Amino acid sequence: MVRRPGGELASRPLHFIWICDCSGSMQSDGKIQSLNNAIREAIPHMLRAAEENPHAQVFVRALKFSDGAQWHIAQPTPVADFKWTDLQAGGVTDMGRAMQMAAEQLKIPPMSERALPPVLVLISDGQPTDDFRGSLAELLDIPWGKRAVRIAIAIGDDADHEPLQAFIGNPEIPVLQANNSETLVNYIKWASTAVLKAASSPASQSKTMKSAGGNVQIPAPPPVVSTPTEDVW
Amino acid sequence: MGGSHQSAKWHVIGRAVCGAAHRRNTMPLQDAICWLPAEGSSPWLALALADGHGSPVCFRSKQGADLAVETAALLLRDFHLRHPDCDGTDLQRVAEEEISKPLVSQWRQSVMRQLEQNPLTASELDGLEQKLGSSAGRALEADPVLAYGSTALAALATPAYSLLLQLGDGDCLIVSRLGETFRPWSRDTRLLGVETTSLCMHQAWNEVRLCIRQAGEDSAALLLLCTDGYSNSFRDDEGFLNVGRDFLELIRSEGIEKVNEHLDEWLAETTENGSGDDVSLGILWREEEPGLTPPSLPLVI
Repeated sequence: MVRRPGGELASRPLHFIWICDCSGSMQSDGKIQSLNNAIREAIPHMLRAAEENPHAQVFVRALKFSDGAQWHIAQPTPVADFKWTDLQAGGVTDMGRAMQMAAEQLKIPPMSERALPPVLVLISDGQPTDDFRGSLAELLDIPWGKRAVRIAIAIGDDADHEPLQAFIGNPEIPVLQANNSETLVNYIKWASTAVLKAASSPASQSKTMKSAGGNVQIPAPPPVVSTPTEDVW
Repeated sequence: MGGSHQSAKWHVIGRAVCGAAHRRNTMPLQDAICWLPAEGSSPWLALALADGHGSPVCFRSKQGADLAVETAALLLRDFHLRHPDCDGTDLQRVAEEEISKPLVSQWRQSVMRQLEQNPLTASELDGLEQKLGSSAGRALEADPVLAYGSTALAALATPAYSLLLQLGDGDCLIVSRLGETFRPWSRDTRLLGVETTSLCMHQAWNEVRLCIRQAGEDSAALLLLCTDGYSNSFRDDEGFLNVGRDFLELIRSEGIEKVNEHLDEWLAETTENGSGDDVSLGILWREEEPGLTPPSLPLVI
C-alpha cells in the first residue's frame, strides 16, 4: 500500500456569525424573544443544510451589541454542537463596536486563507449610537470582511435601513424588513439555510466579473407572504 | 550549458479529476490538463493545467480551460524550440515578452473562433439572466469571452532551464533534489475565497506571473502544478507543501509508473475528503543521471 502524498485532508471552514441588536428597544413588543425563538428554530434547518455539503465545515457564533458589544457565543462552534442561549435586551445600539469585534475575528489569523467566504447576518431594530461608519470601514478594509457574505434584517418600522444597507454594501441585495415574528422566522431560516448553502459551495469568480451578490451568488429571499399575523413592529 | 544537463530527461504524469461536490451536483469536470510531447518522456516537456471558473457567468469555462491548456502548451513548446539554451540572454524578459501577452491574446482568438462557430444561444443567456439578472446578460453580450473564464498554470522543463507561469489561483511548486519544496513567488493575497484573476479579464497579461530557473547545482528535481481544488483540500499549507517531498520520495522509491497508477485514487480521495472541487495535478520529474545516487532526503522530525 503506497501512502497518499501530503498532509491531512480537511473540508474548508465556513464561519457564520449572527450579529444581534440587544438594545433596550428590542425589549418592546417581544422583539428580542421573537429573535431568540427564530434563531433557535432555525438551528435544525441549518444543520441539515450544512450536512448536505460535507466539503464545508460550518462554525457558528454570535455577537451582541447594546452598551458596547460582546461575544454572546465566542467559540466558533460546529453547527451540530451549536445551542442558542437567549439574548436579553437593554441599553443603546453600539453597532459600530460589533463591526470592530467582527473585524478582529476575520483577520488572518485567526481566519485561514483556505476558508470559504464567511457569512455575517446583522439584525437590528434601530440606529447606531456609536461611530458605525468608521467601524464598518474597518471591517470592510479587511480581506475577509470585504469578501464576506453580508445579510441584514431590519426589525420593525423604526429600524434605520441606511446603516444596514451600508453593511451589505451592495444595492442589489436589499435589507430584509420583518414586521412580525413569522416574517422574522422566515428570514432567519433563509439566512441559515439558503445563504449558508450558497456560501458553502461557491464557484470561482473572475475578479472583474463577480456575480450580482458579490463573491457568492445569493439566492432570492423568501417573499413576504400574507399571513394571519399582522404587522406588530 | 554543461554536458551533463544535455543528457537529463524529464517525465510527466498528471490528472484532472472531477470534484466530489461536482459529482454530487451532476456538474461536469471544469479543469483541464495537457502536455507536450504527448508521450510524456523527453529531454524537454511542456505541461499546462487550467481551472474553468464554473460560475453562472462562465458557463463555457470547461471549453475555456481546454483552450487554455492547449494554448499554453503550444506556446511553451515553441518557446523551447526558439530558445533551447539560455546563451546568456535575459530569458526572463524574453519569456515575458513572448509568452505572457501571447498566452492571453491567442487564448482569446481561440475563444472567438469557437464563438463564431457556436455563438452564445438565447437559451444560455436567458438562463443566466434568470439566475443573475439582466446586467449579467448585458455584460456577456458586450464581451462573450467572459463565458469561457479560466485560469492557466504551465511549466516548461528543459535540460537548460525550467519555466513556470501562473495566471489565477492554483499553485506551482519547485522541489529540490533534497526535497525542499517552495513556491517560485509569494501567494497572491488578492485571491482569497473564490476570487481569482482570469484569462478573460481585461489586459489579463498583466496578471501573468512567470519565472525562469537556469539548470545548475540547485536544479529542480521535480516541478508540481495543481489547481486550487487540490491545495485547498489540505488542512494547512504545511500539509500541502509536504506533497513536494513525498512525491519525490515515492517516485525515487517506487518508480514514476507506480506513482502514476495511484494518481486517480489519491486525487479522488483528496477531493472527497477535502475541498470537493475539481482537482488537477501535474508533475514533471527530472530523471536522475545514470550512475548518480540521488541524495538521501533529510529526516523530517
